[in-house]
Amino acid sequence: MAGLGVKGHQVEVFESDSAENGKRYLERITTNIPGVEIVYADNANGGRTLSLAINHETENVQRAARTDIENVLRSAQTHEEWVKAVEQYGANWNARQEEVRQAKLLSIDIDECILPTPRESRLDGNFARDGERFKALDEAGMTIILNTGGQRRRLRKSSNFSNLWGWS
Amino acid sequence: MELNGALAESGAIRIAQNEQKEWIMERNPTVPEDQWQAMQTCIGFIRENYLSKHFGIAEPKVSAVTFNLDQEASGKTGFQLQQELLQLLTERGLPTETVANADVSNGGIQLAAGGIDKAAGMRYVQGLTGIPKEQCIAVGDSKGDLPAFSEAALTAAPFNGAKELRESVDYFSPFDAEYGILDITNQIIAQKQQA
Repeated sequence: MAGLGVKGHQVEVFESDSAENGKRYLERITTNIPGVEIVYADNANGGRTLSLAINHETENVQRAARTDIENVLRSAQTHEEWVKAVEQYGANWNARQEEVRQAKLLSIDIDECILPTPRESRLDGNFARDGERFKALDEAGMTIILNTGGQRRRLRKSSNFSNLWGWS
Repeated sequence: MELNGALAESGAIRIAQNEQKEWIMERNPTVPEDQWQAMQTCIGFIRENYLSKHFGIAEPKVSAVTFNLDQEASGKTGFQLQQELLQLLTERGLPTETVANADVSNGGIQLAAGGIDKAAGMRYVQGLTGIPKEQCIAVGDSKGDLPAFSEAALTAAPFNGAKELRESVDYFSPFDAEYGILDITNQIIAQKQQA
């Protein structure tokens, strides 16, 4: 299951009148997709149900493309298709953990990635969260380069962001 | 990290603070000097002969210019302006491919200095920091970021990334735009903390 980017595995047991032995089992598999879990559940007829649980309360999912995630994952009709769909997200990155750990330079495109369109849609809280993460990366020894195809004056619009990062 | 900073105009310019905490703006020295000269010559010509006479509107950059020509006022077409610039560069012995390859399809002209893209920007920063390509991560969402990706060992894109990126990146975040960046940086931090 490592290829799935599994982060945690938990089995819950429930009392159930409908189950032959009076118990039902629920396996919750936390994936590397924030807020997304794979859930296996025993059925009363002895079969198992594979389903998807998405925690919409997860911080990062506030404006995430969760509908797209759901569409992709729910379109899978079989276990194999489901695994393949999940593997689209993060499996390659997970397979290269050591390279991520050794990385020393991070180049990030500004437009859309850090400064969305319209710019006003960017919430101060998100700037703050980026700032916190960039400080953490800086402390981990990474050099961070904001990379834009636009003019240098556009960078000035990110001054609030850069202040949080300690650029002022 | 003193070298934290920014690259503008697709890697043509680096912006950072020096040891005295003063803001500095450096031209990318990996771009050939004659390409810079050709670009500045074209921008200067357009300013002097067209902009000052209100023959159009320009969005000049250091390494590029987009000039929206007012053909009625100037009596010229984008193609004619292109020919004027080509003659000027030839007379001065400067490279002409910037102008020869310019887009004049919209009546004006769009110029960008040769040798400039985000790959050149990455190489510039790699040279300054001594960090090799093998230790670089590049994150972007558009086709314009692909050159930067070619100079990084690992690549990532948010969910809104262009189709070309979606198929090639090492990590395709399930979150779009800035939330994708939060996700990507979270994952890097998590790996760094385990190192």
